[in-house]
Amino acid sequence: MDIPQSLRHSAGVALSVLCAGTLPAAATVQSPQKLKQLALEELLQTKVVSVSRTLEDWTTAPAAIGVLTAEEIHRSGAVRLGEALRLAPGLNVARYVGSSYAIGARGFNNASVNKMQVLLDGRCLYTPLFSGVFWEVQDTLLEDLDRIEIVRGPGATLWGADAVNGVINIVSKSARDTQGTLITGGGGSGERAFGSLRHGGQVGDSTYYRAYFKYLDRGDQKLSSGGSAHDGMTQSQGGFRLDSAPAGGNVLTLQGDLYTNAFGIAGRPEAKNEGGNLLGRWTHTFADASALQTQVYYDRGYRNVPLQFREDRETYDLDIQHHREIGDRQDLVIGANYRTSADETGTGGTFIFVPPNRTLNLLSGFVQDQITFEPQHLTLSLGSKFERNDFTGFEIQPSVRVAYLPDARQTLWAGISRAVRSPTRTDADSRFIPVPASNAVFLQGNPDFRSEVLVAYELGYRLRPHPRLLLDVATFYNAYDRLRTLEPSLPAGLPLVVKNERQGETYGAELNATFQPCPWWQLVANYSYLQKDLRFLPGSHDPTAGSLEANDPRHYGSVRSATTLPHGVEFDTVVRFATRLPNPVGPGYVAVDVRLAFHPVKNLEASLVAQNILDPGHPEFASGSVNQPEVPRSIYGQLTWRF
Amino acid sequence: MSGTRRSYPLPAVARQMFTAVLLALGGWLPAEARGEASKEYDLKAVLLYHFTQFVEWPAHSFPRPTAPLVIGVLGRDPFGQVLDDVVRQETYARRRIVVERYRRVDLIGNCQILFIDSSESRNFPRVLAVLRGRPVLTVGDFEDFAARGGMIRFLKNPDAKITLGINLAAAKAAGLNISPQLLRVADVMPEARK
Repeated sequence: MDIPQSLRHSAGVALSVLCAGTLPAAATVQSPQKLKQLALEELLQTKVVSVSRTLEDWTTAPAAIGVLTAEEIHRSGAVRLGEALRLAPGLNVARYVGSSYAIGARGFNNASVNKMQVLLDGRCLYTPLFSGVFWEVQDTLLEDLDRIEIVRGPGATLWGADAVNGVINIVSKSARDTQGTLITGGGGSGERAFGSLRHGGQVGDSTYYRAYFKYLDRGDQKLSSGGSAHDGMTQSQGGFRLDSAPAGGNVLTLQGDLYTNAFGIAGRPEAKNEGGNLLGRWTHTFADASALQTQVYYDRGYRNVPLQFREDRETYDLDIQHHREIGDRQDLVIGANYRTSADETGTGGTFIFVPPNRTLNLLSGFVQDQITFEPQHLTLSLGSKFERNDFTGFEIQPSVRVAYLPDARQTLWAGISRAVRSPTRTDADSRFIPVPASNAVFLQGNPDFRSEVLVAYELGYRLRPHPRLLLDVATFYNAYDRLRTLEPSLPAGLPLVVKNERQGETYGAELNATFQPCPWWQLVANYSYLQKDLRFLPGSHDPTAGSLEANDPRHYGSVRSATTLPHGVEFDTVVRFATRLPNPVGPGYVAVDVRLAFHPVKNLEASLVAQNILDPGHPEFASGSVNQPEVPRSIYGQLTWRF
Repeated sequence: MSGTRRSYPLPAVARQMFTAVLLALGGWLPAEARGEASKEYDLKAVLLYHFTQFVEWPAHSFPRPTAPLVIGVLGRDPFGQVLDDVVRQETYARRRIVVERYRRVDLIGNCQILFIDSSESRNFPRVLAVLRGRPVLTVGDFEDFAARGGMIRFLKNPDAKITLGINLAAAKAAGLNISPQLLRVADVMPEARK
């Protein structure tokens, strides 16, 4: 529709008139105008809802950071973690078989993404088996999440984590903020049946707790040929969290989860998985306002994919961080971490490890100093992460970042960082034997595999031209070296051996615009552009041409609109898109999701979510076979009751 | 800047197209809001406004007879547009009320109320040093705010209501006079504490 300039201008003015003149109307939430009419005593009797601190907190950070708030997670209608990440700025989320997702940023998306760090309340979610996340089993009670922070690029030192292409940091709310009872339940097609129950309470003056249980039953996807993919999933999970703030500047947290999960695989018995974790954290703030945080966790995971592979893993992690200010200008954080992870993998499957049992020890430390030069409005962050791993020994990951804040509305930032992706058991010890009885090894790990290296150059700019509009652009130029390849061995060619015979550059940009024309309407647009120029070294004869390492769309993104209508009705739409995948070839797609929610009675929310309304199904990933699982059109309803 | 409030004659076609677009995106003129809860910082913004009506500043607090009453926000701004909207047409002793934002302690200007965001809690001793002797009402919502020398603290209780904690001694030391009406609805700290 071609709207003439004059009409567009009229529309713009009319929009601001309409929005400016009306009462803001999230109708279960009082507007500030109404609040002003209350007397002081009445104000102090009004309940408040906390909105997680959003854009303001991150607009001055010298990194490509985006945040999904609790409200945005709720409004997405997602019932599990993998789905909630679809709206995260800059993330490429592709669902393939069952509830497996390829989730990454800035390229190298594949069936076992290994360049992203993923943390849930400080606990690392990826397995050292391949440095990736088994998204089928990682989940939590989404209603109790405070926010999901996404850092694209090697934000490693800044966030004290270990990442090459990015960090996903999932943070749940303190037990203090999740008091009372929450019951949800729903079902439909796609998400067949799901429900959860959480209760939070208080013990004494300063201790709060919550306990939850969650169940999910997901239906099968369809294959492009029409048959069922037989990849449905069921998961039961429960957990608790305890937060205590006894006097003396101490904050204590204890939390844990247990889960059991089963998912189907076409033509085989289903895979069974289970696991649990326990995490404790103690933060002490000293009289001079410096802080010490100590965290310990235990994580156990068991995964059994029949005839394929098995992993039984126990991880212990100890993390200590100290934060202090030095003088007026410097903000210093130093940390140390020790992680030991022991696994038992099976024998007799198609994907095994030699030796089958191994314990990996990782010792790391980091230091970061943030220096402020006030007259120049500059902040300089210098830091480095140091690690010693069992494969390559000592690795160093330094980073320099600078932020320039000319005024309260703008931030210009730049950074240079080095990051490594250290070897995993898959790189060093694995054997892929497609026909176990034959003992013929098709793919073999290499104990001399070296770390992949990235040097990243980043530049970004944020502008808030108006209190209700935020524009954010981040650009990057990544130089990779020693990327993983599969090389034929002499004389027969097989097995293919894991080597580091590829290098190259990727570059691109991520744009984000957040616009709130009225208090009851929010628009968010995300767009990512990626260009890759990767080359094999002269001696390489990788038969896969790198298709297993990186199959990325050149453009992807989303636009979403969230409106809160009278009487508490919420109407949210998301348009998601990705262009085609190059190798293996996969089609691009445009998908539209819609959510409608209302509050029939106080404390009860009823919502209806329809996903992929435009087409009956489309694949988001490409495995190379003609017959692919396709993410289906689905519709489901949910009731949420809080009291 | 929420008001390009000029009346602007719209051609009928534009109005229809515009309504169609709005409906398609799911928005129409909302009716009056029904209330149950409120957003935390909306309520705190309104409370800040109330403080301007229940606190008296000495005459020398203002540089000129026509100077406005300034509410400063130090550190990250949790209010956004709401605080400006709430104080827009209001006055204190015939002075306008305006909001200023100070990103760092060094940048604190002449203000009568200073809301100190928890992002600056580590710098609180420096803030107090900068404000010593000045009639500035300090307000904050982080841990131990009043005990550490802040004057009015917002405390959010587990039942999701806000209570006020007032350090009267600190306010008096700065030359501020807090009305008994405000003291009555708050938890006033015993004056023996600093």
